[in-house]
Amino acid sequence: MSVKAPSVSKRYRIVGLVAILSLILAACASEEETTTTAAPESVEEATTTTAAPVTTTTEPLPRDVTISFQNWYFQATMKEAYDQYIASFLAQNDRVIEVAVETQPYPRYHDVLNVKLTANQPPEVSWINASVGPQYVTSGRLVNLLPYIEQVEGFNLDDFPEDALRPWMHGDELVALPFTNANNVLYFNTEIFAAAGIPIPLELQEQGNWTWESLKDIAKQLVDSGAAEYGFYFNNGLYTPGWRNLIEIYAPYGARPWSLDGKQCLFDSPETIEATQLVWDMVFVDAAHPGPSVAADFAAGNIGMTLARQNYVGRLREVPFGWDVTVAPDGPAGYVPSLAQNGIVAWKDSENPDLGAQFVVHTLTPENAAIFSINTPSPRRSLQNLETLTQFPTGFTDEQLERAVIPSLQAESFELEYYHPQYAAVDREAKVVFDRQVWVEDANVPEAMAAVCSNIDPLMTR
Amino acid sequence: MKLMTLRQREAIAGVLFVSPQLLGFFVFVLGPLVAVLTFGLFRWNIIFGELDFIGLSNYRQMLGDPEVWEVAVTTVLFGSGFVPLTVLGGLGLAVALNRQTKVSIALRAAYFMPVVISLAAWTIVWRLILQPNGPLNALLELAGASPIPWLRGPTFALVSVIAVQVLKTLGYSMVLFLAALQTVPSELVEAARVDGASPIKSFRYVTVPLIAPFTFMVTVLLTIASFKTFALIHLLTMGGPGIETTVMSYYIYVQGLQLFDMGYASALATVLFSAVLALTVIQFVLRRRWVFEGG
Amino acid sequence: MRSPLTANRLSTGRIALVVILSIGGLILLLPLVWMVSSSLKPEFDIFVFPPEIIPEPLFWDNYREIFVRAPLARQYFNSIYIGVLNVAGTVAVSAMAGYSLAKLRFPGRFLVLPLLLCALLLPTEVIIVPLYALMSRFGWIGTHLPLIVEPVFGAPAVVGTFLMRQFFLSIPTEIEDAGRVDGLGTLGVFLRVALPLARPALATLALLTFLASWNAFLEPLVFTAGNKELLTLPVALDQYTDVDGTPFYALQMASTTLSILPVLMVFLLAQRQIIEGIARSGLKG
Repeated sequence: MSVKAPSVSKRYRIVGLVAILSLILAACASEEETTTTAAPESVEEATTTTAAPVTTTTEPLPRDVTISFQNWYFQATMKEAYDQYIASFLAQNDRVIEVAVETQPYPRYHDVLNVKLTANQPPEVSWINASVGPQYVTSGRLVNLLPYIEQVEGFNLDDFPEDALRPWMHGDELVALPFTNANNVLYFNTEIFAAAGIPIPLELQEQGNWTWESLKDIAKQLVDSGAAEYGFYFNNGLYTPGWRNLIEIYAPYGARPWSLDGKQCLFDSPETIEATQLVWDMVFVDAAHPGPSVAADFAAGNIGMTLARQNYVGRLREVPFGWDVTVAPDGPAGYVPSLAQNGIVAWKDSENPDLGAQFVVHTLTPENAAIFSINTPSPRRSLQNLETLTQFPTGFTDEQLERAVIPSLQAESFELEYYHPQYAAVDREAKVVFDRQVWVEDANVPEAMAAVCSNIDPLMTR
Repeated sequence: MKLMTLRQREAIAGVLFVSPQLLGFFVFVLGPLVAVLTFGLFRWNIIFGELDFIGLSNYRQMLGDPEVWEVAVTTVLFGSGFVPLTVLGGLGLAVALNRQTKVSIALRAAYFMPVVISLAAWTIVWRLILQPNGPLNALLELAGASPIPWLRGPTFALVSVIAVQVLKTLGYSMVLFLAALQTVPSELVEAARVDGASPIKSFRYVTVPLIAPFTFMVTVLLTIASFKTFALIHLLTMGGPGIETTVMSYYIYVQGLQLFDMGYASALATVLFSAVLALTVIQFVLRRRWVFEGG
Repeated sequence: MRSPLTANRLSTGRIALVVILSIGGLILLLPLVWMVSSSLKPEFDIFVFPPEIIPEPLFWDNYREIFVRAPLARQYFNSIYIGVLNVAGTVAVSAMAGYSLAKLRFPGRFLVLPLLLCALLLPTEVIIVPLYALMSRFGWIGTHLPLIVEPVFGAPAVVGTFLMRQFFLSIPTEIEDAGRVDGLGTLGVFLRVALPLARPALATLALLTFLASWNAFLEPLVFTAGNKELLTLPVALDQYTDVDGTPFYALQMASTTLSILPVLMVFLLAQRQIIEGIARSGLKG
C-alpha cells in the first residue's frame, strides 16, 4: 500500500471537495425540512376546505379518483363484505373509479400507518384499533363524519349505543365509526371434561355457579386429573400483547386499569388486585394456565377451556376432538362481557378526504353493517339479534349462537377495550411492571399493582 | 508531462468509478441522515404532526432518563457477547471446514443454513425450543438440572437473544473467513510446516496475520450489525421481559413509531450513530496495530 | 513425509472434530426440520407437544392453500427479479467503487471511505421515515424502484464496496503493473486484470447481496404500500394471519419452506463458484 501525504495542490482540491460536500449536505437538509414542516400547514388547509362536504359542483368532475383503503386483514369473509361495499360505492359515486386496498398484518399495521402519517401521506381511509384509536382521535387529522352521515338517508346514528361512539368523539365531532364488535366466547374441550369426569361449564351454569372462581377450580381439577396439560387459557394472550386482555376478567369484577376519563390509575384498586391475583394463582399456584412464553393453542387438544374471539371458531373446523361453547363466567359484578370495537376513519391530509369520508359512511349504512355480521356482530343495536346472525355462516349452530354469542351482545353493561389518549405509553409502562413484578414466581400482586400506578401516574394527569 | 496526464487520467477514472456509489450515498444516506440529525432538535409528535424547535431538550431528557442508560448497557452487553462469539466461531468453523471433502462441504451448508432461513421462521422455532416446557428444558431435566426460564429470566433472556443471533450469523462470518483463507498461499503454510511449526503455530504466525484485513473487516461489520439488531428483538422478545432485551435501535423504533415521539427518537438515533461512528473510528485507528495489509 | 503416527493422531483428532461439528450442524438443522415438518401438518397440530417429526399422514393442503390465499407465485417472482437486479447492480457499483478506493489515486479518496462507512452505521429503522418521504417525493411508493435503486446505490451497497476494497487491497500491485506494461488503460486493467482476480470476492458479494435482498423486510413492508401484487417473500410470508394477526403457522411454514429453496441453491452454486474462482484466479502464485 502506498499512502503518501497529498501535495499542496491536492490539499486545495480536498478543501474544494469538502465545500461541495457540505453544499450537497445543506441541500439535502433543506429538502427534508420543507417536506416535513409542511405538515402542520396542510392540516389547517384541510380543516378549512373539508369542514363541510362539498358535493354540489356545477360541472361534473371526471371519474378518475382512486382512494386508498388501508386495513390489517382482507381475506375470506372480510374481503367478501368489503368487495360488496366497494362495488356498491363505485356504482353510486361518479368520481371514484377504484378503491385500492392496502393490507398490512395487524402486528405491524399501526407502525406502517405511522410512517405514512409522519411523511404526511396518509391513505384516504383506514381502520384504527380500539385501544390506540383515541390517540388518533385527538390528533385533529381525522375527518368529522357527522356532515357526511347527515347526507345519507336512513343512516340512523342512534342505532349505535352512545357508549360505543364515545371513544371516537372529538369534542362535537365524530371522527370514526366503530365497525366491529368482537366478543369473547368460552370454548371447552368436551373430551377432556369427560376423561376427567368433571361436569362441563354448562352444568355449572344451570346451577347458577358459573363464576371465575369455579372456572379456576375446574381448571385446576382438569390439570390435576391428568386429562389436560392446561385447564384454561386466555387465547388473546396474557403476556404478549400484554395485560390488556385481563379485561376479560376485570370487567365482571368491576375492575378497571384507569378511570373512564383516563385521569386516575385504578390498577391498585381492590377489585383490580383481586382479579389479577386470581389469574396469577391460576398460573403460578395451580399451574392450570400456561406460564409466560409458553406456546399454547386450544386447537392442539391439550387445553380444557379457552376464552377466545367468536371468530376463533374458524380454527376449530377440522380439529379431531369434540368441543362446545358458552359465555364467559360471571364475577362479583355479574356478567359483563368485553367488546373490541375497531374504528374506520378518513384522513384529512389524504388526496381525497371528502370521498374517503363518503366511503367510510357507506360501509356502515344499515344494509352494509348487516353484511358485516359475517365477520363479527355489528355495533348497531338493531343487528345484534339471532335473526341477523343466523343469516350468515358464523360457524356456530343456532343454539350455540343463542347461548354463547347473543348474551354478550345484549348484556345490560359491557366493557369496551381499554383506551386512553396516551395509550401506547401507558400500555408500555404497565407492561414493563407486569413483566418484572407480576408474571414472576415470587410476585406480590398488591405491591406490583401499586408499582404499576406509580409508573403510569404521570401519564394519567395529562 | 506524460506522467502528469497518466495521473490525471487515473484521478478522473477514480472519481468516475466511485461516483455512482457516492451519488447514491448522498441521496439515500446523507439526506435521511441529515434529516434525522435535524429532527433531533424538534419536538415532533407524528400523530399530531406538530413540529416545535426545542434545541437540545431531547438530549437533556435522554440524560435524565434511567431507562436510556439501561438500554445503552443492554446494547453494549449484546454487542460484547455477539461480536466476539461470531468472529471467533466463524473463524474456527472456516479453519475446520476449509477442505474440499464432501463432509466439509455438507457441514458448511449446514452451518450456513440459518443465514438463509428467514428471520421470522428462525425466531418462531427458537421461541418454541426455548419455551419453559420446550425441548431444551426437557434435556436439562433429563440431565438432572432444573429448567431455565430462557426468554423470561432477566439475564437468561439477553443470553438467549445473543445465542439465537450468534447461531443465525455464524454461517455468514464463516463464509467471509473461508474467502479470506483462500487468499493465504498454501506454500507459506507448507513452508512453515516443513520448518517444523505445529499446525497451531503455523496458524498463529502465518494464517492469522495474513487474513488480518478480513478479520478486521468482519469485526467491523459485525460490530455495526450488532448495533443495528432490530428484527430479532422485535420477533423474539419484543424487548422484554420488561426492557431487559431492549437494545438501542429497537428502543428508537418504539419511541418513534409506537410512542410517536419522532423528535426524541431522532435524538436517540443521533447518539447511537455517533457512538457507532466513534467505535468504528477507534477500530480503524487500532487496526494499524494488528493488521498487516500486505504490499 | 509424515510419520504414520502423526497422521494417525491427526486423523483421530479430525474425526472427533467432525463428530462435534456434525452434532452442532444437526442442532442448527433442527429448526429447518421443524419448519418442513410443520408445513405438512394441519394448523391445529402445530403446538402438539412433543411434536411428530414426520407427520402421519402428510398434509399437503397447506401448499395449495398458500397459493389460493395470496398471489404467492407473483410475489415469488418479485423477490427473484428484485434479487437478481440487486446483485447485478451492486456487483457493478461496488466493484468499481471498491477498486477506485483501493487502487486509484484521486483527490479526496481518503475522505470517501470514512464517509461511505457512515452509511453502515444507520439502522434502516432509524431513517425509514425520511426515506419514505424521499421515495414518495420521487413518486416511487407502490413501485419496486425503492427496493432496487436504494440498495444498489445506497447503504447496502456500501458493505459491498468495503468488501471489494479490502479484496483489491490484497492484490499485489505488480500484477496490475504487468497489465499496464501490456498497454492496458485503467478501465482495461480493471476489467481484464483486477475483475477476473476478484471472482471469489465477487461471488461472495453476489451471495451476500442476494441474501440481503431476499431477506429484506422493513423496506418492502413500507415501500410497497401493502399492495399484494408488489410484495416480496419475507413480507408475504407474514400475510398468512388471522384478523388479529395471529399467524397460521402451518401456512407460514409452508411458504417459508418454498422461499428458502432457491437461496439454498444459490448458496450451493456460489460456493462452487468461489472455489473454482479461487482455483483459477492465480492468487496462489
